[in-house]
Amino acid sequence: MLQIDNVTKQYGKFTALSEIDLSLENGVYGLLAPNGAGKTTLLKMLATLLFPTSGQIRLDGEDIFQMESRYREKIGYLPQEFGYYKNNTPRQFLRYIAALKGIPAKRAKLRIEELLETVSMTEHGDKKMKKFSGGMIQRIGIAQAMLNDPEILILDEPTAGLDPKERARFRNLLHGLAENRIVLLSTHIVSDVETIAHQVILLRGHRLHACQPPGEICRTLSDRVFELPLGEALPEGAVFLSERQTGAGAVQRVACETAPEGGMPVPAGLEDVFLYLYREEGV
Amino acid sequence: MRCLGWELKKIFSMPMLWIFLAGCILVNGWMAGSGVSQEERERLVYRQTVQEKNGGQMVPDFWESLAKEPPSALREQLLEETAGAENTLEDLNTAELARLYLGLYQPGGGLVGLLEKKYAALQDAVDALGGEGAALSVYAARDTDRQFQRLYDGLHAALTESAFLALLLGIYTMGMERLCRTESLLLSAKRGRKTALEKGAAAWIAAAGSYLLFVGFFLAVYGIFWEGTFFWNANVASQFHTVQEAVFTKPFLTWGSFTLGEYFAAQMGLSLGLLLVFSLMGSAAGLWLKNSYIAFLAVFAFLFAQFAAPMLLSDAGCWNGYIAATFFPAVLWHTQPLWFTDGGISTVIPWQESWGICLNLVLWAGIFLLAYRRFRRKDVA
Repeated sequence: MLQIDNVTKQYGKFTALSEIDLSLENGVYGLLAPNGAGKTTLLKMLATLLFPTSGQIRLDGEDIFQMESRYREKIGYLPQEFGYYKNNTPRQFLRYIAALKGIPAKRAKLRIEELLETVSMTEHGDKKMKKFSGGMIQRIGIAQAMLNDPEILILDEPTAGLDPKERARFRNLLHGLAENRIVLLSTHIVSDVETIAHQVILLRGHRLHACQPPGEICRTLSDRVFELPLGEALPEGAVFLSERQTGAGAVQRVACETAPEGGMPVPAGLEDVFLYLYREEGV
Repeated sequence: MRCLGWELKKIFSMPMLWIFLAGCILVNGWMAGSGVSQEERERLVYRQTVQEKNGGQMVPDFWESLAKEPPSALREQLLEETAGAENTLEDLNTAELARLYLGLYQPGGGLVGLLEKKYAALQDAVDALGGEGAALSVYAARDTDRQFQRLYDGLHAALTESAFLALLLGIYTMGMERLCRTESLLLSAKRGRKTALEKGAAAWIAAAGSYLLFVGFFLAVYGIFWEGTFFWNANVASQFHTVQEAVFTKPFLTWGSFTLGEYFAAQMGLSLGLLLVFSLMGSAAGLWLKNSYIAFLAVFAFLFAQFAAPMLLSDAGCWNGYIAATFFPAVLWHTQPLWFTDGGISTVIPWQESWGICLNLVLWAGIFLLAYRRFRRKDVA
């Protein structure tokens, strides 16, 4: 179990995260919040790139910063800005990362071939990465994160910049990878999370707002989301969420306590909760 | 070790490095082959051949053997240059040298006492050299100073180029992951922040390898253009080997007895040590300062200050500061021509270059370890 105990991260007077308490076991956790909420800060602390100002992060009762390399050999990390050496091929790059992860050369060679197959990059294994698309680079990023078959997989905005096809491929891949490990996936793209995460972690005001299954989070807005034609005046207290096109014209989704005139109740989705929760943060 | 191999691979995959190496090799090759005089080359070949046959010491046997050589202008010239040679180190009074320097530079503070002590200690070394007849080494006779200077210039160029490389690579290897945006990946892997140690080692290994390449290539080209006239077995304290000071000329006085080959080997060994100092300096700056460009500017400003310090301090009459400044790495590099010698006013203790480099190794290893320790607890953006 990965235990985050009352963790705060401050940069001078600015508080990036405040008193975060989480217990993570095997499964997929979607870390959902707008930009600047502290998702990357939390993930970087879990990857030992940042040190908490206060609080502790423990793996099976032991502080991860005391464990040092014993902890890091159990994690796989895909950073938000995944850099690589442009003149490397995927095989060269993965061999280097394998060396850094302490994987013996012979085992690394086999593992690299397995992973290239998993991410459908075998035929591109000897081409220079500078010629790859964003999606191909991300696939290599996933492969490097998986090299050591980690117990904890930390993925920071892994689908940012990917087209829908690549994002779907990524979600399918993650389904396969999620067995028997903790997967922590940060994103501000709600659809990436609602289909694959068994728990959604919401941050608000740099604090933990919720850590629940998507269904339970959606129930917080149960019977309070309505659709009505775009342009219709909103009743007092109603919160505009989004708009969409239908066969009958454009409609707006709103959240309010009572049904507005002409409004149709619709099931609340995770995106509705996200937009409602973060409405004051300029989402 | 695997990680070290990868770090070296990353360094040597940089096209700019190969351009730099090629440029240095071309410059050094030009230095080795330039200024070749057919006349001087013939003289040097003759002098080396004669010594191989008849020995390299100016003793009665040497002149007897030389007289038996076929008559030639070269033989006559060598006879003339070596005629009446005496063991000039046998009666040399080093206290006189101390008086000359003290009179010329008029230092103050602790420097006066240190210089007197140094030259008193030198007397023992000179007596030993006198005892073994080092001054009677023929070497290249009156071509000695020129020959030595040519060889030395190549050595100094190689050290200068490699020192620059050691500093740059030390800074660059520490910052390259930020430039490539791979820092998060590397530091979150099992090896983590310890990769800084492999990076530091790789920077030095690359610089040391380049130094050996530069020296090797220089000697190879020199050997071709000067037909192998190295005189490796000659004693560097030969009476024909002199040091030109501002207003006087003095013998090349070494703390121990060195053949030219031994002297060069000692210079190369110590140069590798100085390269490690520069490498540690660059690595410490690269680790400490977030921005590689700022680290580069800071290091070179620091080196320039080191280089200027002895002159500024002596002009200001701050002689105790001057003493400390003679141990700076940039000053040790600058005084390479004086390594293993009395060193004039540029050194304050016997074997200063050796002690200085050892001291700097300890100091800069300590600074690097402090920077590394700080890095291990530093947030990675």
